[in-house]
Amino acid sequence: MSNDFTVDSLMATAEVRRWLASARLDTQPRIEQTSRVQLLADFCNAQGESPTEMIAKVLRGGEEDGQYEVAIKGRRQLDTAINTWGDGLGLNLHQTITSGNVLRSFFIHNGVQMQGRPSL
Amino acid sequence: MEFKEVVGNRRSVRHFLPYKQVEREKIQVMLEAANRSSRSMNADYVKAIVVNRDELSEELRDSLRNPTTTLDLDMAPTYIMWFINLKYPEGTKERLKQLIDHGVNTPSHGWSHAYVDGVIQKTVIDKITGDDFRLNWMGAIETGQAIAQALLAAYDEGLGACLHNFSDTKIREALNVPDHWRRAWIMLVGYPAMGAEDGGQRPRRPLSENFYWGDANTPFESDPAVVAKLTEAKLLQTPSPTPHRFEEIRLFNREFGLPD
Repeated sequence: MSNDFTVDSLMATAEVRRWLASARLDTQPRIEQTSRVQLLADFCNAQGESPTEMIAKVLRGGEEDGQYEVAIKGRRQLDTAINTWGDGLGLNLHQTITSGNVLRSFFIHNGVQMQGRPSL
Repeated sequence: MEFKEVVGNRRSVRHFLPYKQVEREKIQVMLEAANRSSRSMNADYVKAIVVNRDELSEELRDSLRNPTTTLDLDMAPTYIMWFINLKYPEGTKERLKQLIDHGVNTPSHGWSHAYVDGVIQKTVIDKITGDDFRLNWMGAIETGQAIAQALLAAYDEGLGACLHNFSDTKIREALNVPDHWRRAWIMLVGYPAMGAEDGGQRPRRPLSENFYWGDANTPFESDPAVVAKLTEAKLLQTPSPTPHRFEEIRLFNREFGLPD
């Protein structure tokens, strides 16, 4: 686990700015934004990878025309990594699922088509 | 509910109340509506299996998932799996003769037992069964009509629904689906979490972009008086997004811990 990723460093990235704008979180109170970005930073530190690197494992191509292909296996691995990370947080089930879905929200708004798990 | 309002109310619902079960009688209404659909040769094109979400094992439910049909499978309490029966030409002769005997297909329109017994096999049935594209094309159109009627019936019953693709690799064996039933859609059914309005009517292009009068170069122009009449009858409704739609979604997401 690294500590390379912080709220401030991630807030400066295009991917996080895209996420917050696309999810309309940028109109929410700042704590709504930073609490989510903190979860993303924790996940990145746990994985030892930047958001860009993680997205690149799922979306391939795009260099020439901006059109990507989804790596099905990569997406499945990402989904599993999110679940595993959530399970390790020591939270109750609702909080675990919600935390994982915050990460999914980040990837979804960056073009990684995946769906959330509901807390039922 | 009046017919036009039912048509106006129909929209693909993706946000269900996951805990509110669909009454069996409402499913029966939907299936009866499907069973009354138009069908060439009076054939049985459509097959459907109804299951409640909570009756399926987690493994089987997971087996249905694909990237665009995941969350919906968790939220909708009832699934209707629709199939195309590729053996629909079987029994055609008997059914057509029945229509003649019932005064539906009449001699004025060229129908007779002699035609059905002696001519129709080679000129119609064999051409369908011998051509995979034609067999599937007809099957898909007629199955689609049945599905559409069930869909409208759902809205008439105050339900919401959405058609999705689904993976049927494992479920076929578990539910004893015959090989000649080809997967069509899975219809996810439940009560709309955000009411019948569910964000408003989805955007559509004007009639003139897709419909024509006389020839394909003459767009069908919409008459404002008819639009006013259809608005009053609720076939045309408030377009999406309705005010506060995104706040509504945000609250729903928060309730179930979903991604914003």
